[in-house]
Amino acid sequence: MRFKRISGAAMAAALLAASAACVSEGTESTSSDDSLVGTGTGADCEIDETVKVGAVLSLTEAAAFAGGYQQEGIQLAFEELNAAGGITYELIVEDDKTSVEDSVIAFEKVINRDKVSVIVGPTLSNMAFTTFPDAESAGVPALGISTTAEGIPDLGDYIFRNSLPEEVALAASIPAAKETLGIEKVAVLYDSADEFTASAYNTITDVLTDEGIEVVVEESFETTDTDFAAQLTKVKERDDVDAVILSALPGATVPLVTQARSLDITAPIIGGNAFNSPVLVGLLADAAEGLIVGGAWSAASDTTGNAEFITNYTEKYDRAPDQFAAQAYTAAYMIDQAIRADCDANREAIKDNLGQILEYDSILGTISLDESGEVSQEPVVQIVENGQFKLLEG
Amino acid sequence: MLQQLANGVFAGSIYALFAIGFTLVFGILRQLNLAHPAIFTGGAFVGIELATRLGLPLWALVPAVAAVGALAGVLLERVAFRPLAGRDDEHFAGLISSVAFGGILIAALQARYGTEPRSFPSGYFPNRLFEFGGISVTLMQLVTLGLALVLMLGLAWLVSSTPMGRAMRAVAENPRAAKVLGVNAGLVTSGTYALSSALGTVAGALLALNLGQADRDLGASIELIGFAVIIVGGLGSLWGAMAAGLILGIAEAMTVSYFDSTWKGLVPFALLFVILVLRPRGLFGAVKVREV
Amino acid sequence: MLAGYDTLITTIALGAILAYSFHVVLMAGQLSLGQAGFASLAAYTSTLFVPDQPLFGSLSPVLIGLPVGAAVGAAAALLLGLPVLRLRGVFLAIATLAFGEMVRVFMTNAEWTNGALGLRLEKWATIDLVWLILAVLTYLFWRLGPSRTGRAFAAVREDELAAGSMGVDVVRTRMTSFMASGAIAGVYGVLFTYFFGRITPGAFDFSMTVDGLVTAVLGGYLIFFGPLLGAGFLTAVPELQEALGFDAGWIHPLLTGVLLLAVVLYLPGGLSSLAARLRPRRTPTPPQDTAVDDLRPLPEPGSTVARVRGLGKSYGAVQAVRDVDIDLASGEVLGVIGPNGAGKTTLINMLTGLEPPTAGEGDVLGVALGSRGGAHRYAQAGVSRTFQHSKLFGRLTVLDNVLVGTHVVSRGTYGRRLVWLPSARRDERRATRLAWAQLRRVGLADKAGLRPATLSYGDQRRLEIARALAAHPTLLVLDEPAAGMNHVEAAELAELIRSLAEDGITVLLIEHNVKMVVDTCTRLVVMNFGEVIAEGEPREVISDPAVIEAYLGADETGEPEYA
Repeated sequence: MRFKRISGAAMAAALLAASAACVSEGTESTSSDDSLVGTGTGADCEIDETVKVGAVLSLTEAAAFAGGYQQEGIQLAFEELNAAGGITYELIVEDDKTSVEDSVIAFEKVINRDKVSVIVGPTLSNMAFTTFPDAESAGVPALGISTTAEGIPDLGDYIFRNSLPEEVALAASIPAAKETLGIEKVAVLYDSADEFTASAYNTITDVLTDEGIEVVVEESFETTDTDFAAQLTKVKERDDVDAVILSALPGATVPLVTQARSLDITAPIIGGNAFNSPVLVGLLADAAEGLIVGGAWSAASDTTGNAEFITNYTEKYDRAPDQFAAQAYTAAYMIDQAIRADCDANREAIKDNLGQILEYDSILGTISLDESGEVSQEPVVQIVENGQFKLLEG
Repeated sequence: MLQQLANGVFAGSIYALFAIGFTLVFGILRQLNLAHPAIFTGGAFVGIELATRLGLPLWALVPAVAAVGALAGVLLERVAFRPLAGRDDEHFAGLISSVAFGGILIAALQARYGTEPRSFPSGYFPNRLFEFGGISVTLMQLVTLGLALVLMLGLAWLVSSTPMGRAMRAVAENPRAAKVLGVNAGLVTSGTYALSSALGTVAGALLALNLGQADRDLGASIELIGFAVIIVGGLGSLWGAMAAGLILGIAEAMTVSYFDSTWKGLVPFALLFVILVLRPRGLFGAVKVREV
Repeated sequence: MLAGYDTLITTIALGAILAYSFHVVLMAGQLSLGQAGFASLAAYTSTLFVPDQPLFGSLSPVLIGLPVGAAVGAAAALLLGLPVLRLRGVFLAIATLAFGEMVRVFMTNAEWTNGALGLRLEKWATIDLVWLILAVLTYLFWRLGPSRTGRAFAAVREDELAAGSMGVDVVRTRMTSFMASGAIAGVYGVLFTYFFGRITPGAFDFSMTVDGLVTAVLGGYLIFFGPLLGAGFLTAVPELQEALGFDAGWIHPLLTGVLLLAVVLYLPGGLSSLAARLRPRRTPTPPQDTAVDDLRPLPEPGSTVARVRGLGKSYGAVQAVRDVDIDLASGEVLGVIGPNGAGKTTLINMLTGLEPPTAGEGDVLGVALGSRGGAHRYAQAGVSRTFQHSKLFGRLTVLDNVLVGTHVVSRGTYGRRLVWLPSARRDERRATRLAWAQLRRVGLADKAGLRPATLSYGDQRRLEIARALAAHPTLLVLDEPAAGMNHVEAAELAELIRSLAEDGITVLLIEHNVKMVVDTCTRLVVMNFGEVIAEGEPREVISDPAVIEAYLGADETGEPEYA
């Protein structure tokens, strides 16, 4: 008797095993919801149904330094848009805790449970590489706001980003520095353990080759390192280094720049997107002077609405915005733009229209998205003078 | 070459500062205190707060931070270690309860200070560069090394020549016998955690001053190297921790200098591994290898 | 599955699988923290083997990756274990942690791994597959618990010396648990990588190690479903907290910390012990018939059991035992007496394989003294012992303590239990009968379900004897079994020892209670300062002037038991 029962159980287990081992195919069919289609077009568009927007951001743990600004920036924008009327947005913010697992869980929640029309985020490219394929197969448009790594837009038709790729930022700051400062030989220092900085390092090498700039010192370190004197000594030993190009996260940037300056390394230091933060400049204090920073946004630029944005943001959150806040803020307006184009907040419509945003006049300057999902925008190059970012006029 | 040697010594003095408090608890109580990195981080934030709010200069800041650290150490002992005393799995459970205590402490720091890094007021520490026979040394580096040496010597004196130190050594030698001889083991245990945490907080504040900022991961970033230092030096050996800190610092600097900086991260752990396999009691460890 | 919760549910399973890789080493008392390294090596290696098309049209390609991952994990654990497994406790923990860090740095700097940028992969591992693997693991651990192998793990965890003396191959058991941990960590690495479709060196870092350890400890490593409970709990807490509207970033780590602290302080067995407590406690019921008839017969009375010549042991300059000759014949009860520090315990430690001698030669039941392999080889040959300071397995019940004793006279049952072979059940029943017989013999049958710590001192000594007897020993070595017993208990014990001798068990007895020794022993050896000073018929020996002098000296230092 017992043997029978056991073999029955074994049979069931085997069947279960066989089915579990299969790869399930087939994506969800995206049905269009008429209640998300409104009347009128453009500024006159009115949609009765509330439009749900998901934002998956790193609000805690390692990347919280960025996620916090992003949350504030996007909230500010949707409050303004809701006040403007016509379309009512509901913003659902999820924390991915700077972890791959939680970012996928958060995407699943906003896609399947909240049934949002569009997703903003995630904060880090590392998470984008695993969450964007899910958005793609679910047919939900996703707009990255700080995912600057190479290859992000290639993840699918529904994948977009308004964040200037690191290679574009660096491709602007390095030539600008070359032109104004006459750089011929540089030292490159980079964090080899982090995905973002290692990717930027690859870009830096390419741009330097293109510009014909010679790399005389090349040293790496790890995200959690605390002492950089050994690497900096190698920079100092060469007296022909015209500039130091740095690819580091804020955590390592502050001690590294401080230690470089206290070791009397006076060469200008050039960095990319990650440098574009008033907090960083505040932490560095005097050591920040002369930093050259490429990026997508500057508090100093006179783009449309920028001054107003900075005033409103500072008033609301009691701190100055940074590039993360600006890009998140812009993302909300680009989504609004895409919805109003056909006055349709369905996922398909947003996807189609996001890819056709052409020369939109934003606080980041004139910005366009193409069907591949890539952004095109004029980068800004800034230099820190007297504790403030100034545009570096080439 | 000489410059790199000096760089290694200075980097190593930070490792040593972190490790002496760590190794003190292990040497005397046979307990690996995994809350030490959190205490270390707490020291950095408290130091910044005291310097910013009260404008305490460095000479007053160090004892103030140490006092806060000592209190934290007493609390740690009461909450995470004392309730476990006498249990079969005391040492293992202590490992986990100290992880928990550390997590709670970090969460509390986050609640109070948020997620953004903090820094000392600008110009808090003068930025000076000295040249000695071709070697550049910053004032910061000198102060760090000096303080590490002073704390080391002070601790060594305390352990070898004071009644408290004698009681500590008695407990380290044989806790049961020490009790029979009238040593107040509870007091010694509290005292050891207080002392260890005081050293940890001072080290944390000093590292934050060195780095120009403090964030919640400050302690975690140095924790693994700290393991390497205390094992290489010999768990429980104060001088070993100092020497091993310097050795690891120099080895790292030499790797950057002669090989490739990408492999720098491997050096402390490879060294640790070799030492553990060849000489588990460490370079200077007199302590018998015991089970936890 | 529940739409919109797939990933959440899968992370519970992934967390539990990771926790199992800690569970299996903690079960055997090993604090090994190299799992991140094993998982990383396994996951990266699997990416070289997993095809980019489904197998046979529809099967998940991860099915190739899983065995590769398990094999790589186990192999890495073996290679790492060879040098580091002689370390214990914190030292083992830190050495394995260092290994994990070295793997991470290596993967960050290697070319084929694409460094910190990592690799993008297809998401081949589905929720069903991950849960299926977890189900298989849970099944494996469920069947492991009450098997001979499971008891060996527990014995090694509780006391390595006692486990070895009961015939458990400690080195092999530790290595087995270590390799199992490597294999499970490898499977975790592969599943994690192919579930999220992404691999970076940073994913397998120190915080992953801490997560796994915390999950395993929170769930509890004494019961097979601990990891599942731990992972479920850790995943549910933040969801619950969010549902309640506490969403400040610091609340989650605070809550986790407080919970973990509470469990460590007040619930040493973890959450699973709480679940086990909810179940009505079953007091083990003794079998009607405790006869076991297939035990190997004891040797003919009078045949040689042990023969050693010139045995000596020195620790540096201290000569603990010097030039001792011993002959033991089957059926004898040989008493060894002598003042404290006379070298008695050192002598029997050498005879039972716990310490190698530094001089002399001979064999015990055919095992040459000083041969490699340790105490379990002596135990397998038929030597069984008790310890001066009792070395019971604290977290096992009285019955389970004795069951460990049956190790050398039982066959391994784990493999057969997995496939429910009736013969495994028969073997387990036989071991249980054997254990009950010993409990009855020493008078502990009514305490079978208790923990050793709740027993009186005399009962603990009796339990040690029962455990030793469960091994059906040819030679039983008792190290001061009557210490701490009152006169009535000691008399009962003497009675028991005589009855054992009647059954044909050879007994080597170290005892201070001279009356008991004289009453029970057929021959007596007196030691002082590491040397044999007298030997022969007990009553003659104790009237030897040299012996009296040795004891008078001892009497002045106050040893009241000799009366």
